[in-house]
Amino acid sequence: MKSLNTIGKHFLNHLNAVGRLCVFSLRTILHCFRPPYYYRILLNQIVDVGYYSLPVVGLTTLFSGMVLALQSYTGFSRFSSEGAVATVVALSITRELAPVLAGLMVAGRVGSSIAAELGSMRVTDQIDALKTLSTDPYDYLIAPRIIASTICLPILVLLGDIIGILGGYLVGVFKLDFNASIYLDRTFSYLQFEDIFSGLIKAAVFGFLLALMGCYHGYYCNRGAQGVGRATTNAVVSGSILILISNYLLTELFFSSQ
Amino acid sequence: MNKITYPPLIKVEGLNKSFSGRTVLENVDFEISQGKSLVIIGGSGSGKSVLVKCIAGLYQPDAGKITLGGKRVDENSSDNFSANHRIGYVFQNAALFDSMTIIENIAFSPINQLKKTKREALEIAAKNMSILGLSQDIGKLYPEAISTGMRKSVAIARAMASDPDIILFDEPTTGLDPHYSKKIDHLIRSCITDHNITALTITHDMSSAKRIADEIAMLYEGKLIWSGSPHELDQPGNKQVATFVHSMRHGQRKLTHLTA
Repeated sequence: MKSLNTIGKHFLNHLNAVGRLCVFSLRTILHCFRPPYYYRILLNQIVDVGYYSLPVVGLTTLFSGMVLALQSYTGFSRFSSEGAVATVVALSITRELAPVLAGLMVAGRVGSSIAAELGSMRVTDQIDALKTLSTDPYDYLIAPRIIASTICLPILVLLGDIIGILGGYLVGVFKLDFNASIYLDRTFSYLQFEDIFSGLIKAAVFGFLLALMGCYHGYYCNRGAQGVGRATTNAVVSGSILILISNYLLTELFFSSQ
Repeated sequence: MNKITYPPLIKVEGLNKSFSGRTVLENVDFEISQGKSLVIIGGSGSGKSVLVKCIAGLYQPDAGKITLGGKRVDENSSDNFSANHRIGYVFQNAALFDSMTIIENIAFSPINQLKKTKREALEIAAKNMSILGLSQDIGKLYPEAISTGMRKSVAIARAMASDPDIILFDEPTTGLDPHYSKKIDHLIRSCITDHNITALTITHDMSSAKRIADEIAMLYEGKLIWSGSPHELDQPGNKQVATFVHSMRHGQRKLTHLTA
């Protein structure tokens, strides 16, 4: 009977958490489309999420493009199809690798930073102070972070696409001795607008999800420094898992619509 | 000559609040007239902070009525900010925004609440700083760079900058030495008398309570068990109040002796 009680209690706690997350998400979306807008804070967040994440995303996609070129060359050379390397690098980077890797890297960098910032504001009563000064934390703290992340991630992924393809090109031309113009021709002749567009849609969804997780765990943070640490970890873990799950769902959606 | 009586600005009736089945406030009733100062004393865990947070709209009561200036606020959710428009709140830990400078903290309310221009807001902030005896030089510093006592003064300046009718002080002298406590008490008293502000203060500092209060009430295990004037606190006629006051004074004497 006691174990049933415990199971029931845990189940209800989880149900409560899911309900709270749903309400939080709906309120967040509502506040993103409803004034007041704090443009200065939004701009600061765009700089923080977009500009300062560029080196991380750039390096990740550059080396992923390079590794992909090497690995696909190893595979394709076994059945004399080395010519497909450029096309595979371009399609893999634009459709899959750049959005997912950028999403995961930004979840680690920005999601954790949002959770830590909001969490420490929560435990030091700064969020309550905002409320007593007639300022809605959803408008002032949450909406600018969500909007900035949703806008910036597609831009980062677009740049990541270019850098990743460049990485493949560098390895293809300088290490694997492909002809530069043929490599470029193979890259762009099979690349379609939908390949890039689907990656950018994924990036916008990932940007929303990672910022949402950072805001949610930070906003509902408790129990002092330990709580802030836990909120940061939870933001990164849940953000990353949601990115991977939504990646599959979006890929299936785009796959079935073709 | 007839004395003019004002309707109560803060009126709390039958307030109840519990967390996870644990009753924190039980049937709390009191009222404060305009320009008056009520100090609520009580030990740790007696429900003082929860009471103030209910009045500020940060917690929603389970039952009871809270009326501020004739307007009920308990029916609003904790996120209905229009209800809090004329309330200043000084938090126990000051709760200054650590990403903003001191002057930006004080100017926050005039910009966002009173919709002043940045220049006007900075003028209001500078004026409030000088009223509260804060040097203009600290305006460019961040909260981490100033002392705890100064942070409390800045928190009062921030609350005053919203031109409130009511200010709620949550343990304003906690963590301060007796000298700075007196200074903060003086600031609070001058806010009340000079600006006709209605104040509700919660504290367990007896000296501070007597300096700030027009009336004192005691909260014990979530219930208001006593109220009277600051003079009556010496002879409260209630065993629990007398024991609490005696133990607090004994502790304060030891602290004063140590800091001297």
